[in-house]
Amino acid sequence: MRLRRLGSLHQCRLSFMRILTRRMAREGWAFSRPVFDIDARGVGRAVYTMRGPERAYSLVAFAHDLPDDQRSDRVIAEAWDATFALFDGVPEPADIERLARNVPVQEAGRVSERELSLSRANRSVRLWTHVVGALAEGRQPDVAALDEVGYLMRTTAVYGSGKFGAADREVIAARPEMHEPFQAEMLSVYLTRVFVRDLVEHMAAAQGGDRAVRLDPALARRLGIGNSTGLGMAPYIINHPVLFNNWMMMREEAIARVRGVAAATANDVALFRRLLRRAVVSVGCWRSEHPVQVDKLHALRADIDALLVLLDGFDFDADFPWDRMVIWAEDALSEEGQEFLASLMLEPYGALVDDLAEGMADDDPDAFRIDGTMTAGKVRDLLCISFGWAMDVDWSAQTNCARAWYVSEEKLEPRLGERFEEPIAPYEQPLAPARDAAAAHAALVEWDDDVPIAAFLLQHPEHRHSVRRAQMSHRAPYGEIRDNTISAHVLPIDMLRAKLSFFGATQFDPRSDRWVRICMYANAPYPEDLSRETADFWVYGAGGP
Amino acid sequence: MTMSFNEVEALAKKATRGAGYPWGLAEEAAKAVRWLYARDVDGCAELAGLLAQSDGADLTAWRPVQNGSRWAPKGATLCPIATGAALSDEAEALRDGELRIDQVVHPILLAPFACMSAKHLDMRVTIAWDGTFASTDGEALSIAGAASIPVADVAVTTGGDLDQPRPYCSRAKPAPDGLALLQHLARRTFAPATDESRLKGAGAGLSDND
Repeated sequence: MRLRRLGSLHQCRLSFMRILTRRMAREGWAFSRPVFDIDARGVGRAVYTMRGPERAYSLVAFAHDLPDDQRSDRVIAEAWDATFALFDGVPEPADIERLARNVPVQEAGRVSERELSLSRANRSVRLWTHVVGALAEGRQPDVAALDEVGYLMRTTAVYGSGKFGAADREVIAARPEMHEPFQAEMLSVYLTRVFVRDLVEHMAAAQGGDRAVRLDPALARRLGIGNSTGLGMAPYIINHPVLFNNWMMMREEAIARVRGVAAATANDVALFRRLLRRAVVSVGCWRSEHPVQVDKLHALRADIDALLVLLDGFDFDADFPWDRMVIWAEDALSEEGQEFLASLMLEPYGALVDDLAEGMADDDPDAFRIDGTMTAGKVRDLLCISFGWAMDVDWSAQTNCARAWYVSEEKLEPRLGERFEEPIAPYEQPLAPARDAAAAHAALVEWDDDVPIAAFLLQHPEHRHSVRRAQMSHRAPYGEIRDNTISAHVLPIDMLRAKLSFFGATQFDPRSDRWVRICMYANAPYPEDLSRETADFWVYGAGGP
Repeated sequence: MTMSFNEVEALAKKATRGAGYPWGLAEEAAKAVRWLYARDVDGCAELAGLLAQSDGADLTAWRPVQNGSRWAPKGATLCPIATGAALSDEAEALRDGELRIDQVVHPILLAPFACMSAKHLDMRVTIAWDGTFASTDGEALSIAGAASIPVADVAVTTGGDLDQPRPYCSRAKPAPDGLALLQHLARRTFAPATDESRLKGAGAGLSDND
């Protein structure tokens, strides 16, 4: 649970996008587009509906004509190329009118309990212009240009779970199709990708008339939806320790189950080899100019080469082949390569690990309650299990607490500042669990081991949040990042990567130490191609299973 | 206008912090407000009633001093959040009989903590004051009498009737005054933006025209 490790995680079978596409294919969800009312300038509205066995969900999309000077992927932007809400059901005209007054202004508007998410996207101007221009002239766009960017639009925020008036998680959590984390948000992005393809073809037709052609489905399939993610996401995994634990624990359990496979069948091995070959291509397309990621990509490509060499002579017939491979990787590969392999080796074993997806939600509201009868000694032990390393850190040294997390007055955006250069310390958010655990531990020194923690908390309510976390860690051992989240050297992109990898994102491209661009659903089947055969391994790029 | 529970919870947490409470108690206050709204009680109004008095006060004077089954304020009145947290932490004490808690401000804010105690004990728990009885079995809340009162001496016991259950709600409808006060207090947790923080703090600041 070190940040370096979390910042090297890769998508896997348990990623939320793949959970969704598998479910939609398995249950035969039906797609329809009841509304597409967009003019020649690209302004209007559209509705995209997916209907499952019990319920339907609709993306209500608004397309805008955005001047270039207003296009910003900062969360504090005020206008976008397209804005969206995921509606719970199929909207009536009155719902669409209500949303038309609120969704285009995003945070400045209000949505209701009928909406499950609120989001927006901007065009990749360069690629958008190229694709519209080519299609309008009757030819297909340049493949290299498509792969260079990877998407026609990128979302700059996807809000769910009660934000801006939307339905709370509890409203949908008991529905089987929404029980796993972020399924509403993932569905919203899945349908956004369909809308974007339709819109680019619509604009090309408006521009080119009879000469215009539609985007070759094979090319369309390469395109994902981009996303720019800033600091807002980093606090999330600290603020939801039980939920984040469940993600990590289920993936670790999946890895353990596969390592426990005594003998790999020829089919399992063949699938692993095929997907590895496809991954060589998709990792080859992964671009970044950020020095940290450039080094990591270099290491990953070398790791994949090393893995290919290993496989040449690997004895899959001897006992526990996957376990042996993991042990080999511990010394032979970088953290990127180790996590890549750990995710890849789960692929042949859907029957063994896919049920773990159900354990990734946080269904345990009682974890919040502090057990006041727990002894001070036991709490001290728990603090040390997660943060033993932090007890000897000099937390007054500037380098160890150089940063402070705070929320800005304008737009309420989470930020990371320099504690000793900006007047932000009074506004600090509780996002340094290691430092706070060390402080609680120090305060507990004077208390006897057998005193109930309730007595301590009555005198020291300032340590209540740390004691709560310590008790949560008892049942959620992967809930705490075992690193300093306010050090001068912290890279918030590591936290972003950890969360986004569980979404199923690929092509991580850090743009600084605190924001990252990614791609979602690249190579995924569109609704008309979604089937049991296509629903699972799309993330590895073109090629059969 | 209705608000989601997430919105009122986030607001209550910031407002409580903004009024000077430590983060752990701010988290408790936020969960308490959410719990009350789910049972059709205006949690923001109750919390605002408390914070209007405790804002800026020396909170050590608002904590209970425990003398067996009698809890009393060190100062004039007790904070229901700090007291409620202790009530939940020490739920086991209710097995020994009635607990008397003096001078609790906005005592309905104790109900969410009584609920946690009830769930832990697997028994009903009732808080009572001036002819009002608020009972919970760890899930439902029943209130006989007036829910909202500025301050009262409270008795906490196990047992009680659930014959006047509050309806379950999925949205919060806060009254404007309480909401406005919480928003005012919440703003104190936001750092004033500077040009430097706009650029450095979020890390980007680039055009999106590529």
